[in-house]
Amino acid sequence: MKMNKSIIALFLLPAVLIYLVIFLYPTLRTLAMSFYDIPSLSSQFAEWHYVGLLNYKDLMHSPYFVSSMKNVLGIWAIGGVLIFAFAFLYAVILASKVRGTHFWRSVIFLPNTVSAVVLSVVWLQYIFNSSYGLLTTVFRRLGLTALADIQWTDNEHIYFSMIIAFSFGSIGYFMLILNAGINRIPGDYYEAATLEGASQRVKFFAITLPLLRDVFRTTLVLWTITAFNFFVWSATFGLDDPHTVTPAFYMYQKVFGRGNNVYVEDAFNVGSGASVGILITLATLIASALISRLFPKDRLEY
Amino acid sequence: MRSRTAKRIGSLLPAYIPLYAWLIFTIILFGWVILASLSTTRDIFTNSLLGSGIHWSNYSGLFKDQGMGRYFANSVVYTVVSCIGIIAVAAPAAYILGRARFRGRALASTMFMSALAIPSILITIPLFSVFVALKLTGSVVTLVIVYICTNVPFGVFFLTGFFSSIPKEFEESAAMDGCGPIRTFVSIILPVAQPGIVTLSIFNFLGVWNEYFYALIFANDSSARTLALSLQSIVYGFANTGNYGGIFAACMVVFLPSFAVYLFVSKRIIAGLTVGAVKG
Repeated sequence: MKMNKSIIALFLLPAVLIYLVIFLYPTLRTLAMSFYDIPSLSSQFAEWHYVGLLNYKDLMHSPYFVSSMKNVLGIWAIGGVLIFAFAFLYAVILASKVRGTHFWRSVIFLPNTVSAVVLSVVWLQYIFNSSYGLLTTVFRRLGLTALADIQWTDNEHIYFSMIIAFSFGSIGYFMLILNAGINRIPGDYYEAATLEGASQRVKFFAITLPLLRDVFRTTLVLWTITAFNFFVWSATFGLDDPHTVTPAFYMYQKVFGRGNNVYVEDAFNVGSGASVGILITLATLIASALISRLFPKDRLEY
Repeated sequence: MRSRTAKRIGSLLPAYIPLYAWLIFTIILFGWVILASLSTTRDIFTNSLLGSGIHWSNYSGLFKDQGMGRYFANSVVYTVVSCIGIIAVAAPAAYILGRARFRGRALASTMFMSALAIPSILITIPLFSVFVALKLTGSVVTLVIVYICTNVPFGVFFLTGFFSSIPKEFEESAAMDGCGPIRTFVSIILPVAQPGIVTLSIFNFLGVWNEYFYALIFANDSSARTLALSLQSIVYGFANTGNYGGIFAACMVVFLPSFAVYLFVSKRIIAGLTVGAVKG
């Protein structure tokens, strides 16, 4: 449709300005900052001191940062397996002939709509509580004293406890995407297979799984982006426990931690925080490209 | 026939076990928290919820002593103003991208798509410096601006499809009646695109109400704090003084508004979420 140029400009301009000021400019500025030593958040450009790749080199030698990278890779792997196993299980169940699919979908998606702070408090103060908590009560009833005595939130367990609690709140979203992907597969394929005498198992492995490849790729990329930017639960669940620190939380602590953080021995440098942001973004891009390579786009059209 | 139905139900039985397991876990979780939010700390620790009756004081204490009313009001302002602002900026842009043909349209679409891939961690440091320079940190306005701006790209992306599917006869007949383009957009196109706008606003409501990262950085100030952020500091204080009933009551105050919205519109949320995601 043809439209007056001034109307196009008027309607489009605010959104374009926001893109330039809120997305493009800060991205480029963060990239530039990562090559400088910057003494404070309000420093003028004149106070910046060019250091080349030194910020990146220092990060690689910082034990805190290295362990935060290990933490985030563990969250990606363990949380990924947990979330995908449950999401796929429920997606398959809800694509079968069970009754009340809308109700079940809503119930499984419910935790995704709850504030992470609320979920963290409920898991920390109720489920994992060592005196009246759900886990300890259930295990004690069953007579499993060894399990009932586990301190879920101590240094040794908090990392896994956090991954479990976080995964519970994320399953619903991935379930919805996988479920929609399964429902999109045309029924004719299954009918034809049934006529040929294929069993449920054969149909699942020969039709459902191969045709879900594109959906698997999308969900895996989405999960990788979520996991690599893992921040909120480190702040609400792990609090300051070094076992739950991720690169994103490390950056927050370093730049915005207002002096009460565990990394006080590192000199304050905004540029170093910027390079953490750049590294996370690079890691996300590389991982997404790798995933697209591993699951090439399906040329099957249906 | 009958035996076949019985057989079908029998073969589906294993499918219901995980579903009911999830349901029971969810009910125990939220049911226990509701009861605990009305109990005393002693009742909670002796595993006899509501043992000494219902204590609404857990809730009234939050508003009287912890100033939760103020944080609640803050969160309502953040959510409502952001939801309106996002639509005000994103809808006109999406309308142009969905309907007008002009040079640079592909570039503009790519731009908004690329913004979806930029992690918030990448843009926060420069944004914070800008707000420091403008002396705006810790004010309600800052977080509203941040919420509107960071949600515009997704809004444009989500609404473009809705606008492009509207038949162009709407504009043609409006033009014949002598309606200018702005009036056509506001009084004819927007009402037609209402389902998309409502769904997007529901997403934005839940997203902003539960948002944590930007709130922590831009509004960690007692006057501008969001409800979710205040929950964290209230819980921290109550855990030290041993007011566990208060902890769970505070959880309910944050949880209930989003739950009420979800109860009414869960169908819409689920349909809207799966539209864009499966296309890959």
